[in-house]
Amino acid sequence: MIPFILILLTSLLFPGIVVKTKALASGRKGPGLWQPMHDIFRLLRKGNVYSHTTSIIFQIAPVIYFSTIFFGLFFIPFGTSGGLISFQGDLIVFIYLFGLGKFFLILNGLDAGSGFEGMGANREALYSMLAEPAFIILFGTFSLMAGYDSFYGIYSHWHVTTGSSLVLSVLAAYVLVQIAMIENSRLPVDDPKTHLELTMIHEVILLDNSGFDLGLTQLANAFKFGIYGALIANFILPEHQTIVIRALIFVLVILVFAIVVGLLESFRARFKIEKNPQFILTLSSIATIAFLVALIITNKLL
Amino acid sequence: MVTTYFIAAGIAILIILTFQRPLVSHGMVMVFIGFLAAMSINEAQSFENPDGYFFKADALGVIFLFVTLIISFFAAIHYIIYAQKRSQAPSVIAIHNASFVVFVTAISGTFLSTHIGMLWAFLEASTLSGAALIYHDRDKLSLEATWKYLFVSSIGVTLGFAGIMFLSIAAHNTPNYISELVSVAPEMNIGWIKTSFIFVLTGFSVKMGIVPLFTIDIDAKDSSPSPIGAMFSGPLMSMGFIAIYRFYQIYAHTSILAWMNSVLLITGVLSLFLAAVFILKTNNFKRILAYSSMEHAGLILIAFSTGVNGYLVAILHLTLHAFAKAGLFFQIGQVHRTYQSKIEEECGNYFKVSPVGSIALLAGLLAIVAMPPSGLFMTEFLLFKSLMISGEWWIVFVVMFLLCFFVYAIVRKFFTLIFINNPNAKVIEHVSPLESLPPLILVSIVLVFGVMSPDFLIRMITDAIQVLPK
Amino acid sequence: MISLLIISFGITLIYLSIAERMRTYNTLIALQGLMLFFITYIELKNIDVVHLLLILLETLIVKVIVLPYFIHRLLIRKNGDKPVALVVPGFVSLTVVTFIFFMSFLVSYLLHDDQIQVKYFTGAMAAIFTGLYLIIVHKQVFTHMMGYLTIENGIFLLSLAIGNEMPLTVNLAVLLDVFSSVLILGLFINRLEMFSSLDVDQLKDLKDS
Repeated sequence: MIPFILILLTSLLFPGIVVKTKALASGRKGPGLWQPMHDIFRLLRKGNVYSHTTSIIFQIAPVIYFSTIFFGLFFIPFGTSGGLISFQGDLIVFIYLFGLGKFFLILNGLDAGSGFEGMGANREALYSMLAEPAFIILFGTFSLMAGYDSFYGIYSHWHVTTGSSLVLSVLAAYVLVQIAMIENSRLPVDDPKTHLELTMIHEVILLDNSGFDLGLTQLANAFKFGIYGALIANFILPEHQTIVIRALIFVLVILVFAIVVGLLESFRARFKIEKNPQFILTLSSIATIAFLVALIITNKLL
Repeated sequence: MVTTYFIAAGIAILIILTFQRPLVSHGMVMVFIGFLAAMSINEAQSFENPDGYFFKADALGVIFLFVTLIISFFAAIHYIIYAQKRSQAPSVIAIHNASFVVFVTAISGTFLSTHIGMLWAFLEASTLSGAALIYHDRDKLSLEATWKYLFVSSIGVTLGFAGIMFLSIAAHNTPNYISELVSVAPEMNIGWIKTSFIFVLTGFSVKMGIVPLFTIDIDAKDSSPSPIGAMFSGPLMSMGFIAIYRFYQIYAHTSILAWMNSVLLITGVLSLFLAAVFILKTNNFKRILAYSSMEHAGLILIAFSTGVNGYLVAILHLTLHAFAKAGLFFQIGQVHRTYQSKIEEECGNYFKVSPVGSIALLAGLLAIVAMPPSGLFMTEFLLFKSLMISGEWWIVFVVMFLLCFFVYAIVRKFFTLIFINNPNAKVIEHVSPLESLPPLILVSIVLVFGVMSPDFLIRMITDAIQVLPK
Repeated sequence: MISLLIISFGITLIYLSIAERMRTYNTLIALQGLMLFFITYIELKNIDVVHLLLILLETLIVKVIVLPYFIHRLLIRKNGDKPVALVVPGFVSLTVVTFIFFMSFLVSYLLHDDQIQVKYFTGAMAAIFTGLYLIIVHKQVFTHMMGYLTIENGIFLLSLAIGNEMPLTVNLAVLLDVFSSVLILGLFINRLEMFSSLDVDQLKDLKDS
């Protein structure tokens, strides 16, 4: 229950911190930390407007997207204590849960029938498709090292002891941060600030969504960021501490992650669209190297 | 003696580069060849006795030393004429002669090396000096050929080095002396030595001029002076063969012998096939000769792959081909001087211009397309015989079929040169018939060999291949 | 520590496959040299001092300082830091190089031997084949040269992978290095200026017919 509440709370703060960091980094005062949440709640109070050309898919897609991500929250463990739902292979379920959400988001874009949204859906599909192997290979590496294939098993048996596992952790941290940036449609792949439909990726899918639906998807995005933050935080969590200290560290890591995301966005330019697949594939390559290193260390092949 | 020879080579290079006078440098090359002759004779007498830590002459080494000696002697003479006629700058001559000495030293060193690392170092030295030789004319074409040669050859030699590394992995703590490696060969890991052999064959194919890295060898023979083309077709090819042979010799004592033979067979047939395709396309006489060298290299590999019946044939073929091809290259160099062109469309009626040269060319043709009484006819005949004995009938047909292309291409193009009256052909220089003497000598060695083969040579080769398993 | 170095070596290879600027290539090759320097030091600490110094100086001076400096001065500063023409999209190259990594790992694993360490061997084989791949797909003399240097770094790593005959093999690799430096500095930089651009399409005069 603890991680669930912690992630829920920090997720709500997450967009605010990112926006604030970016504002401070560019020398502005910026809105308050809760401003993005105020926006979302304002949207949630509104009704929906549906175009006549859309079908039922368009109406259910945002709800499904939100619910998959919300359900994903239940899987996240808290250090050595498991998440609310924990079983053998929950890792795979988690990954494909996200995949399902993404699938409906893409359908949402296609169903609206706008050319821009179709294009955005296309790009979103391509990038998730490319980022997925990186994520799977990375967690495959961890489960290889830990010998377990559930989140709980991996996190409770992962210890940074030898030099090699330290190297692996560094690689993993890099890849995870980058995947988080891609999956959440942030720089350098996508830019949430852009206002030209041709260059948008994630935002363009939601062009036709309004009111409650739009609010749901934005809330889901905030949760998603919180989940990735929690995945990183779990690696750092010390074992033998009281629950309060661990919770504090957990929250702190997620918040630091938010600041890092803000800083990265402030000082990084967006790639050319055609370079994006190459960049995302690089993550898979690096994850492959990590995987090979893990194979060498554990000597588990053959 | 080998040490003295290397020191002599070093001194010769020093003198050549210090004085930079044509007379001195040609003289020093001749002195150096004298040393080579002395060393060869000495090695032939102290046969099978180790000479220093890294050298020992076996029968193959001695045979190819003499091949190198004869061809490099004539090449040096031809180069003197070449340089004089073109009134080359003294510095160019000096650099060429110095590289020539390094080149010949590297080649002869390879034949005598008993240490794999030493062998490799000589191959690398031959790459660098060979590149300097190709760059002789200092124009755009030769620069292109030099760059390609240096680049691809370096990669080849590097891959060969990787092959040596795999060998030393397989050989555990054995020092890389061939004789010691042979004795530990049966214990080697099959996977490593297979990888090693593939790397070595790929890498050193650049020296022998076979698939896969053959193209730069063709370019090199085309754009270098023709004496160098002769050196590349004869001694350098033998060097590449010996380099591959040394590894074969080690691995032959393991269970991969049959596998190696099929690899060699495939490489040989592929070389033959590609050479047949390319030789039909080209109209440049030097390139025709280069592709013909590739053809013969392919035949040598095929002969070698037939096992015990083919070893003798392969080595004999290599020896004879070196002489025949060197003679043809020298003669084509004179054709080149006569017309200032080596393209089919710009030459013709050579018989009228130079009857003696034409006879040398015709005799060379006879030798190279393996018509009786050429010695190559005998070896090719034996090649087919050994192929039939080992039951490789389809290879026999494929090889015979491909050989038809070579005969057709070579004969048609050279007959155009010799007999057809071509209005585009402008005779620019009349070459003295005396210059055709070296080609005639070289070619007649091959022709005479077909009639009466000297026993001692056969015996030497038979002794040499005793080290290979039956 | 060695793992870290070899992994970074591997990552430079991946980066090489998608690099687009001459300067990036040059920096990456120099970085590889630096990693090889540290690997050599850690691995060969125990051999005699003269050999060690020779090898270390060679890696440091030739690979890390002299070659990159000359390439930078004579090629990059002179002609500008031009983008390298990618014939094959970076995406494909990346896939191929990752595949190469996987295959070299498999090969080194299957050929498992007490004498060599899998991580060295994987890195070395991956470097050799990545270099070959770079040479095959690129059409510029510059990238060909970079591919060659990559192969050579791979060979160096391979010679470190073999524990037994260390001094001799490494010395031979050193020799190879010196030769290749001669190759690059001597011929390439001074002479190939005859061709106006450094594109291999210009090196097509030698052909049949």
